[in-house]
Order: sequence, then structure tokens, then C-alpha cells
Amino acid sequence: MSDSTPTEVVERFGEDIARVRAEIGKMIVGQEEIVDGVLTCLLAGGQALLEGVPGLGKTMLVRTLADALQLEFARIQFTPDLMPADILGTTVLTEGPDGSTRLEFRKGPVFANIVLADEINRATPKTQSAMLEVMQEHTVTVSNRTYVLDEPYFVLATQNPLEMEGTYPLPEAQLDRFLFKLQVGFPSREELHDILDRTTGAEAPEVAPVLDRARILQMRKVVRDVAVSRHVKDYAIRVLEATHPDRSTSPEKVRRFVRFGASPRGAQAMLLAAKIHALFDGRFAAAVDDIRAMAKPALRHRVILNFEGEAEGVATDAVLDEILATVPETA
Amino acid sequence: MLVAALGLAAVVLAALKAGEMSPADAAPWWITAAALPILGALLGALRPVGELLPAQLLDRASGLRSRLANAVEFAAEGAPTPFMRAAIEDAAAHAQDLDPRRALRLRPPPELAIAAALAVGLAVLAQFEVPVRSAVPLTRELEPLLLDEDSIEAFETSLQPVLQDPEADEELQEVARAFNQVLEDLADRRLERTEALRRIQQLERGLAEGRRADSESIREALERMGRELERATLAEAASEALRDNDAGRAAQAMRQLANRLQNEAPSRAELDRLRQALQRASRDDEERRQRQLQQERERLERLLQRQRDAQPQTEAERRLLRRRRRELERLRREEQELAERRRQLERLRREMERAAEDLNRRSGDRNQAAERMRQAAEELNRMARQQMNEEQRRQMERQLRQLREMIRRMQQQANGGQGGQGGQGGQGQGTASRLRRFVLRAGGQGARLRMPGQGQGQGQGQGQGQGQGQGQGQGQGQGQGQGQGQGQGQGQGQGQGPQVLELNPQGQGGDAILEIPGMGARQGQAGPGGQIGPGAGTESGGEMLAEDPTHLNTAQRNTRVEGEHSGEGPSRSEVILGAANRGFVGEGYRDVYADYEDHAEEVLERDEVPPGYRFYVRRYFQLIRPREGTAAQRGEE
Repeated sequence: MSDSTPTEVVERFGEDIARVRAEIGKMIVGQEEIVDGVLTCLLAGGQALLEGVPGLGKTMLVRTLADALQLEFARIQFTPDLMPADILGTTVLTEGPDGSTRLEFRKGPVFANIVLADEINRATPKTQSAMLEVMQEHTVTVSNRTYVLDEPYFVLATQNPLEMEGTYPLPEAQLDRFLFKLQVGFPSREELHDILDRTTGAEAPEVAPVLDRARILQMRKVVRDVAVSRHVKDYAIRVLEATHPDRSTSPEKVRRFVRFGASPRGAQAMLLAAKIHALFDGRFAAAVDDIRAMAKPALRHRVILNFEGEAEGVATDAVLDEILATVPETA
Repeated sequence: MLVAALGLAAVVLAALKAGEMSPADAAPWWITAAALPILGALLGALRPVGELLPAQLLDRASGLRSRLANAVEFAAEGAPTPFMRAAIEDAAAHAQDLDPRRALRLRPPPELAIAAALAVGLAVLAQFEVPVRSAVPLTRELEPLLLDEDSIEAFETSLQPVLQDPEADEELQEVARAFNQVLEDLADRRLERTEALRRIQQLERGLAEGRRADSESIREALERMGRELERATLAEAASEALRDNDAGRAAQAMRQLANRLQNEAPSRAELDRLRQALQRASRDDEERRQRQLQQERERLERLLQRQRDAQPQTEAERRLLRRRRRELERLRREEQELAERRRQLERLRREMERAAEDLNRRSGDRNQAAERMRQAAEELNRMARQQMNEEQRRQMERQLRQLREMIRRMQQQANGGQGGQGGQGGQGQGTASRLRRFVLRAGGQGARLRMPGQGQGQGQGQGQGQGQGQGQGQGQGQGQGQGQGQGQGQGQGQGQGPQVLELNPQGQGGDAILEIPGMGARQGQAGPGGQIGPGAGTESGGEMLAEDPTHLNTAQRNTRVEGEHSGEGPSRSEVILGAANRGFVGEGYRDVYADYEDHAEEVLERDEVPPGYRFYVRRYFQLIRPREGTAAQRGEE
């Protein structure tokens, strides 16, 4: 692998991604953008937050992804009574064959490669915090003992924008831990036809594993090798700055409706995602267009609207659209 | 730059159009406006452009997704990674078919719309001609002084003797012409009150400057001569004239005396008395004359000294100095004229002395004495001429004072002196209407008058007259007959201080009432009265009665007039009665008027009339002055 030329690396990267897309496409109709977003998060080593109404295939997507990647998959249904130990694991007293007893740590569902945190906003903040520590550190500490999670570790959380009653919206600090926030849209009519055909027919499509754990880690390294020029980074920084209402370069909508702009993690997310986007496109370096393409999923959960923005029903994406339209490519 | 240039050009053009900037001042701004686009183009052309920007433009134009820009940056890296090198190669591969023209397409500048709007505005502005503002002096509406035509005519009439006298003093005639011009301007309503008063003051100053020296001493000398000649029977007429200080009549008497000496043969005693009288009359009071001259000189020198010592510091002091200089100039002129008068007097005395000497030698020299008398008469004639000039000057001064007083009182009336006039709001019109009627009547039969611009109005209050009369000759025109009648006139005044002057209420319906302007309302109407005297007819006043109906509820004042039959033509009262009926025309009335006016002036000069009333007296005489029939008809339209 080390002897491969960048061209070969990129080409292989593209082929692998294409295979994964194809496998996922067997189960998921449409939603290419969501699939690419999820793959981007996976390859970037980040986590993804999927937002969408029930029934749109979020769980199916994650399960399919796990199947295609030959990774261990765990699903946690977050409920208000879910405790941290329920997801992290707990120490139990066990009796050995010789009759001796000892404390043994029973790993929780987070000990998997791909974890689906379903309706994460229904759990209490305590449980959410435990989950977010895992997401950020990729470790679990129980009884003064730290367990390192296997890589690749990828958490995909979902939340339902409806039925907000009795939920615990994720705090801004926790939202920031997600690389992307992907909004799952309703499928088109043609896509619905396909969904119905596939799910109500006699044949159930099977997903074949196309990538293994090692390959994924290798691909993550490739991502890091993608070159980024200064003017692209500069553009990402300017976009990030434009999300802050106290900056002179901010557009009018930001100054009026935004309470807090994105943190530097936003720029990191944009840049990393831009690299992956360039690889998806078969390029060796990230471009300004990649930043533009990744800006919304990377920033939409990091830009916090003020009361006026909430009251006016302003969508964060609309704010970001204005930012992308006003920030010039050249400084 | 283009927008700035167009904006600057618009501002400069607007300033030029508005006259706020001269073309010379605008030239540098025009040059600046023209240079701005060129400067902008030069700056744009010379501005350094890095390598990245063209690459970015090409990427954007060709959809290369930052390949070229990345390659440019990666190429500048000291140690490019394999991916960087691959990116460069990739960019190089994609750069084969690039067309730089697509990246550098000429695009309209974003401010093109503003520039176009400014250019259009500039073109429109260039088409407009903004009127140049010039400092227009503030004008106000002329408020002409409205003087009734009759008064103007009266003043004009008073100037005619001076204007038509070929021997009148040139300086006096000049002032008279200026006075006449003022009157014409007043008649044409071209003069305001302030301007009128200013010109009147100017005329008065001119008259005062031209005033002759005080001839009191000369008058005294002539009177002394008259008294000395009184003892000679032959010179009785001349003596009387000299005592009356009438040089003209004295000259005529002297000529008659000369003719008598030449043509008749007076007795020796009469000639001796004449010779002695002439000798006494020719004596001169040298000592007194010298004293007078010395006093004058001393006064003059004191004034000169004061003038020399005066160091004017303030404006008031400078004004005082100027006044003193004028006074000094006047004194010098006065002294010269006084000296001239005295020379005339000296020549007169010399002629009289020579005549006395001729009479003393022998009787055969009467012709020579007569010739001396004629020479003396010539001297007296010259003195008479000067007397007349002085009289005309005084007359003109009186007229000017009268006019000024009239203007002043008109202003007082306009400022609220309406109190006392019953007809508020209609006072002026009422006055004009009444004055019109008066002038019509004063002008006699057929007289018509145009009263400029006063409109119509009515005075309030009405008078009633009621009378009974017997006699003949009532009716139109002149009648004959005798009769006695009684008339009852009833009148009532309203307001404060009504001034009613009645011109002897006589005749049928004769409205013999005069209102003095500014004195408030007066009403009254004479009732029908009886005729008096032979030949004095009456004229119907039906028109007046129709306009001014009789009321019975007014105060009454009865006047009874009885005529006398002297057989020597109309008496003065008859003349006045006739004038009241037919108007102030006719030779008889002229004589009576002159007599009465002289008397009035004499009384006024003796200060026997309070100053506040002199105006009314003079105004009264002005209104009842003799009028030419043609002059009255001059007002016909």
C-alpha cells in the first residue's frame, strides 16, 4: 500500500466507496446524500447525528452500513429511564468454576464498532453525557478502569424532530461533538415505489461485506493524506467566522438571528469532510467547492439561533446559505 | 472612480448653473473629474496581481474545483507531499484545454447602474438653464400720497406769478419749477409721503439759502425818506408810498412828480419845500450804517474763529461744523446783498440830493431835477422788483409750509386720527366726495372736477335745513328782484372736534359748508334762504339736496341776513354771497379775496392766531381762493 501512487490510492478509495454505496443501495433507496454523509463521518472518525421522522430508514441505513463494512453493530434505544451503566456496561459479581467470586465488567452496547444511538434526545442528560464521552474519547471508564474501544468506532445518533414532549434536547456542547448533522428527508415518489417493491416483495436483498475494519482504518489514513491548500483553509475559516454575529464580515441574517457561531470544531469538520469529498470525486486535494458542499452538515448543528431567529422560524440552513453566498472565494 | 468622476462633474455643473462657481474656478474641478477615470484605469492596470487569483478565476470559469489554485500553492511548497504532486499533475492535465479569456471576461462594473444614472442626470442637468440669481433689491409697493386735485391746483396757481414773471429772480424761478414738479408728481401719484417731505425740505432749504438779507434797515431808511418828503405837497404821493414801503408805487409817484415838474409850473414855495424835503431825505445816517456793518463783520469773524477752533471729533460735531459753514456762507452772501441794497439806497439818495441841488440853483433847472427824479424812480423800481421777489419768496415758503402741514395732517389722519369722523371706514371717501361737491360748486356753473382715485363714499350724519323765504328770483340762473328771507340751517357734527366752516348759508339748497380734512365729521345743511340785493341770483342746489337729505332731528342755528341797497353795485357781502352761489369766480370776488387774505396773513404773522389753527385758516383761504372757470373745467374728463 505504501508503494501505491496517490493516483492509485485515490482510485482504490473511490472504488471501495463505490462498492459500499452499491451495497447500501441495495437496502436504502435514494438518500445518497445521507449515505455519503454517514460514510464521510465514518471515514473522518467522527460521529453523525441523523435527524428525521421515524420510518425513513435511519436504522436500516446504519445496520446496512455495518453489514457492508463487516463491523460490529449495536443499537441502543434511548429512553428516559436509560442509565449510563445500561449503555457503558457494569461490574457484576461472578462465581468462578472453583467457586470463587470476583467482580467482572460486563461491557455495554457501546462496545461495538458502529453504535446506533436511537432517539438520543429521549435519554436523560446524565446518560447522554456518558454516551458523549464515549463518542469523544472512544474510551469507557468504569470503576477506575478505562476500556479503549475498538477502532473504527462510529456512533450514529438519531433524533426525532417531532414528539419533542418529554425529550432532553442535546446541549450545544454535546452537539458540537457530532461531525455532521444530517437531515433525512422524505423520499420521492419514485423512491417510494422502489422502497415498496423491495420491502414487500418475496426477495429480501442481502448485503455483502465489501470492506473490513483494516481497510476502513487504511482509508482513514488516506483521508488524512489529502492535501489542502492555504486558500481553501482560509475560505473555511472565513465561512466559520461568518457564522459569528459579532464579526463585521457576517451577513445581515447572521447578525440578526444567530446567537452563537460555530466553534473551531466546525472548521475542522468542514476541512476533514472536504478532503473526503475530494476523494469521493477522485481528486488529490480539497477544493473550495468541497468546503461549500460540507459546510451545511458540518455547521448546521453548531450555529445556535437566538430567540428572534427561533420565533421567526428561521432555518439554520437558510443562514448558512446566505453565508456561503456572501463569503467570497478569494480573500 | 467613474462614479466619483461623474458625481464630481454633476456637482461642478450644478454649481456652474446655479452661479455658485465661476467657469474659471470650475476648470480645475473639470480636469479632476476627467482625470479620475483615467487614474482609475491606470491604477487597475498597474496593480500587482498574484498567481493565485488568475488560477482561482480559471478554476471558477472552467469548473476545475480549485485544481489550478491548489497546484499553484502546492508548487510553491518547499516539500510537497505525494498528494500535492499528484494534485499538481492533475491540475496540469486539466489545464491543457483552458481558455483564459473565459476567466477574464469583461464584465460590467457593479457600479455601472449608478454611473449610468449619474451620466443621464449630468446630461439632463446640462440641458437646464438655471436662472442666475442676482441680488434683487427689496421692493415695496409704492404708497403714493393722495392729495386732492383741488389742493394741488391751488398750489400750482400760487406758483404761476413766479413762473410767468420774466423778471423774476432766476433762483426763485428754479425753486418754483422744482416745486411745480413736486406738485405734478403728487398729481400723478408718483410720490410717497417720505419722498414728498424730503423734496419739500430741499425746496425750503433752497429758498432759505437764497433768502435776501434782512432789509429792515433799508425799509426804515425808505420810511424816513417818506416822512421827510411828507412836508412837500408835491411829493405827497411818493411820501405815502415810501412810508408804506411800497417801492413800486413810490417809483410811479416819483415819475408823476418828474412829469409835473417838467410840464407844470409849481410855485416857488412848493419847489422850496420839495427841495428842502429832498435834502433832508437824502441825509444819511452814516454812523448807524457803519455800526451795523461793523456788527455784521464782527459776527462773521466770530463764526470764522469758531470754525477754525472747532476740532470735530464726533459726527454731531462735524454736522455742527457743516451747519456753521453754511451759515457763514449765508452771512457772506447776505452781507454782499446788504451792501448792494445800500448802494441802491445810496444812489437813490444821491439822485434826490442832486434833484434838490438842481431845484436850488434856478427854476430853469426843473427839467434837470425832473430827470433826477426819473433816475430816482428807476432806483425805486429796482428796489420794488427786489421787494416783489422777496414777497414771492415768502409766498412760496408759505405754500411749502402749507403743503408740508397738509401732508403731515393727512398722515396723522391715516394713523388713526379718524376719531371724530363719524364715517369710520368711509372717511376718506366721504371727504373726497364732499370736497368734490365743494369744488364743483366753487368752480361755478358747469364746473366739473375729477377727483383721482378716491372712489365713492358717504360721510355719516346728515344735516337738515329748513327755511322759509319770500321773494323773487328763485330758480335757475340769475334772477332779479329783491326779497328777504329767513333760513334755518340745522347741522350736527359728530365725533371729536368737528370743524365746520359755513360760507354764509344762503340760497336755495346752497350747501355752503366746508370740511377741513382731518377734523372729523361735520354735517349740516343750510336751508333755503332768502335772496338779498338786486341782481344777485340763486342757483338751484337740488342735486345736493338729493344727495344730502334734510333731517329734522338736529340742532338748529338760525342765521338772519338782511340786505342793504347802496346803489353802488354789489357790496362785499353781496359779492361773497354771489361767490357762494355761483362759485369762486369773478373779478369782484378776486378783489375781496385778496383783501381778506392779506388781512388774514397779517393777523397770522402777528401771531394772533394760535399756531395749531393757522393751518386751518390758510387751508380755508386756499379752498375759497378765486378760481378760473377754465381751471375748474380742466378737471373734465
